[in-house]
Amino acid sequence: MPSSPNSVRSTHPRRLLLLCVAWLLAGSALAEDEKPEAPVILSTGTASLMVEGRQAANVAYSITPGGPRFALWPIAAVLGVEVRIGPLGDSHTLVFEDRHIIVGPAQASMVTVAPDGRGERKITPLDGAPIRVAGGLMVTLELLERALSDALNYQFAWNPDQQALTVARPELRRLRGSVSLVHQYQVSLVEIRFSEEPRYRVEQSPGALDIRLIGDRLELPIQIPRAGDPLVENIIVAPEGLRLELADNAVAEKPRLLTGPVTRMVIEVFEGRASSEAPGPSPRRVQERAPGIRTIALDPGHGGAETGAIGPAGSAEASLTLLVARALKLQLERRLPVKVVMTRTENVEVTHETRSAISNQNRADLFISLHFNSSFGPQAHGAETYFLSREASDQRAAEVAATENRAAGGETNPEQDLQMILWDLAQSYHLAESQRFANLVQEELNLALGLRDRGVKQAPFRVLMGAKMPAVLVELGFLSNPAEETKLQTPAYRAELVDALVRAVSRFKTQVEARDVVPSDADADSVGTGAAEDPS
Amino acid sequence: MSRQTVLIAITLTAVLVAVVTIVSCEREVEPGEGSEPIEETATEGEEELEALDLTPADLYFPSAGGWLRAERREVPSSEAVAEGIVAVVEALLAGPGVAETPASGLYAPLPEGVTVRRVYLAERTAFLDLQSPEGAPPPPSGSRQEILTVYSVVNTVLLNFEEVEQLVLLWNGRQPRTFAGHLDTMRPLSANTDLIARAP
Ligand SMILES: [Zn+2]
Repeated sequence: MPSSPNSVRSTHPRRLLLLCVAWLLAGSALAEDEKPEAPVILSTGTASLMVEGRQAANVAYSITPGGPRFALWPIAAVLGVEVRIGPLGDSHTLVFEDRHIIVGPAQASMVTVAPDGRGERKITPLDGAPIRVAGGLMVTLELLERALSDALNYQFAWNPDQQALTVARPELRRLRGSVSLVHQYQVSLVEIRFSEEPRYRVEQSPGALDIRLIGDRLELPIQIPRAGDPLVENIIVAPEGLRLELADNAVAEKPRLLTGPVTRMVIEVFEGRASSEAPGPSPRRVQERAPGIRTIALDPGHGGAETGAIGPAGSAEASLTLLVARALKLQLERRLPVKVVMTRTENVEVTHETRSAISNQNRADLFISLHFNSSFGPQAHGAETYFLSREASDQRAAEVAATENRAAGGETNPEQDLQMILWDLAQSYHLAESQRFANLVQEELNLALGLRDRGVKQAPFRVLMGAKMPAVLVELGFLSNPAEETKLQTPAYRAELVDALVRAVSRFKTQVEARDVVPSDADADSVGTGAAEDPS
Repeated sequence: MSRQTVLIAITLTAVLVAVVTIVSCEREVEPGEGSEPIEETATEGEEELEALDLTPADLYFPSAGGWLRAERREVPSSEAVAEGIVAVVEALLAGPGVAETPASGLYAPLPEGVTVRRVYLAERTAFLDLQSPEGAPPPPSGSRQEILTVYSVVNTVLLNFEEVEQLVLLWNGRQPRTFAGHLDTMRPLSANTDLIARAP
C-alpha cells in the first residue's frame, strides 16, 4: 500500500537527477520575469566563520552591490549540511532530513522539495542570486537564513568591521501544550495547543503519525485525553514531539497549524474506506486526500416540519431547496467529472450534525447548502452567498456559555459543546477556500440573473460549522418578495440558478486543480508526503 | 399584556413631559447661542424623567430594508442590570413606536405574544429566556429574517448595557441550536454593529 520505507534511500541518484531537472525548470520559469543579475564583484576577502562563539572556519566572501556573498561549501560543512552538486555543476542541493533545497547560480530563488522529490515544490524568491566562482557557489546572507534558519534554526549575522560571519543557534524553546481529542461526524479530531508557534515536521507511516519539533521542546507533563476513540488508539507525548497511534482502519490527514490568539494544530483522522467507495480512480489514494474537487455535497436546506421560509403565495423553502438540489446534482454529474452526495433526498427533517456527517463520511471536497431567503417586509430581493464567520470560533466564549448555562439550570450538553467548539476550529482552516468559492458563486449568480449584488457575507451558520471542506451557504432569492417568489416557482428560472451554480463549481474545480499540480512523476499521486521512515 | 399597557402609558407620559420641557426651554434660548441651552435642557429633562424612573434606550428594530434601525425610547430604569434588560427587551418586543416614526418601515423582531420569561447574569454574560405562547417554537424564516430577529434582541441588550458583553438566548427555558435553522445560537452572541443602518 504505502511506499516501502527504504525506497527513499535506494533511489538517490535518479531522484537527484529529477530534482536537478525540477530546479532547471523552476529557474527557466522564473527567468522570464526576473532580469538575470550581472554580478559586479567590488571586493573579495576572507571572513571568520564564528559558530557558537568560536572560529570554526574561514569563508571566502565577495562584496557586490547587492550585499556580501559567502562561499556556501565551508559554511555547510561546518554546520553538517550535505551539499550535492548537480551533473552540470550548477545546481546545489542542500540535503536535510525532511527537505531538499536547491539553489544555483544566477537564480534569484530557491526551490524546496520533499526528499523524494514528490509533493509540492516550493519556490522562494530571493533578493540576490548566487554567483558561481571557481571555488563553488557564493550565496547571500538571505539565502543562508532562508535555507538554514527554517531547517536548523540557525541565525546568521555579518559583521563587516570584524569580517566575521556569526552563526548562532538560539536556546531551545520550551513549549507548553495541551491535547484534546473528539470524535464526531465520523471523524476524529486531535487538537494540540502550543504556547508558541512550533517549528515541526510530520512523519507519516502506516498506523502512526509523528509530529517532531525542530529546535523546540515540549514541556511535560501534558494531559492526554482518555482512550476510547474509535480511530485514534493512543497519543504519546515526548519532549521531542507527539505521536498518534491510529487504528487499523484509520487514516490521518496532514496536520494543519492555525495561528491567532491561540496557536493550535489540528489533525483530522478519517476512517479508511474500502477501495470500491473511493471517489477517485485510484484505490491506492488512502493516506492523504489528493487535491481536486471530485465529490460535492449538496445540502438542501431545512426539511420536514422545519419548513424554513414560507412565501406569501405559500412556497416553502424546504421543498424548493430539494427541487434545486436534485436538478443541480443531475447537471453537475452530467457536465463535470464529479460525484454528488445529497444530505437529504426527501422532505424530512435532518439535523445539522447529520448533514455534516454525511458530507464528511463521503469525504466531499466541497459543501453547498442551498436556501431561499426571507426578510421583514416584501422589498428585499436578490441572492446572497455566505461562508462561516470567525466569530463562530470564539472558543473561550463558548466555554463560558457551557459552564454558566449549566450552572444556571439551562439544558445543554457540555460534551456536545466542547465538540462543537473543536469542530468550529477545524472548519476555520477552510475559510479562505470557502470565501474563494463564495465569490465565484456570487459572481455567477449576479452575472446570470442580473440579481442585485448583496455580496458575499459571513455568518455563524450552524450547518457550515461541521463541514470539513470548503463550505458555503447560498441564498438563491427572497420568498418574502412576491415577484421573486413567483419567479422562483418557475422551473426555467430555477434552471438558470442551477446553471450559474454549475459554472461556479466548474471554475472552482479548475482553480483548485491548476494550483495543486504536482511534479509529473508517474506515481506522484499515490501516497502523499511519502516520508515513510520509521521515526523510532 | 397588562404589562405592555402600563409600559406604553409610561412611555407616552415620558415623551409628553420631555416634549413639554424641551418646548418651554427652547423659548428661552437666545438666538446665536444654540448649543449651550439645549444641553441644559437635556439635563433638566433627565431630572424630570428620573422622577418617573425612566431612562433612554436605543431599541434596534428590523427594517424593511434589511437592516436594524435604532429607535430612541424611554424605558423604566432599574438599579439591577437584569431588571433593566427585562424592561428594554419588553419594549423591543412591543414593537416600534408608531407615534414617533409613522410609517417607519420598522418591525417587531418576534411575533406578538412572545414575552420575557427570565433574565440572569453570569459575570459579563446575560442569559435572556424568551417565552412563546403554548411553547411554540421560534417562528420559521429565511436566514436574513433570522439574523435580524436574533441581532435585534442581541444588539438591543448589549448596546444598552455596557456591563454585559455577550448574550445567550434561550427559548422556553432551553438554548435552541438555531432559531430558524441557520444561525448558531448555541454560543453566547456578541453585538453585531455591521447590521445597523448607517443613514437615517
Ligand atoms: Zn434557509
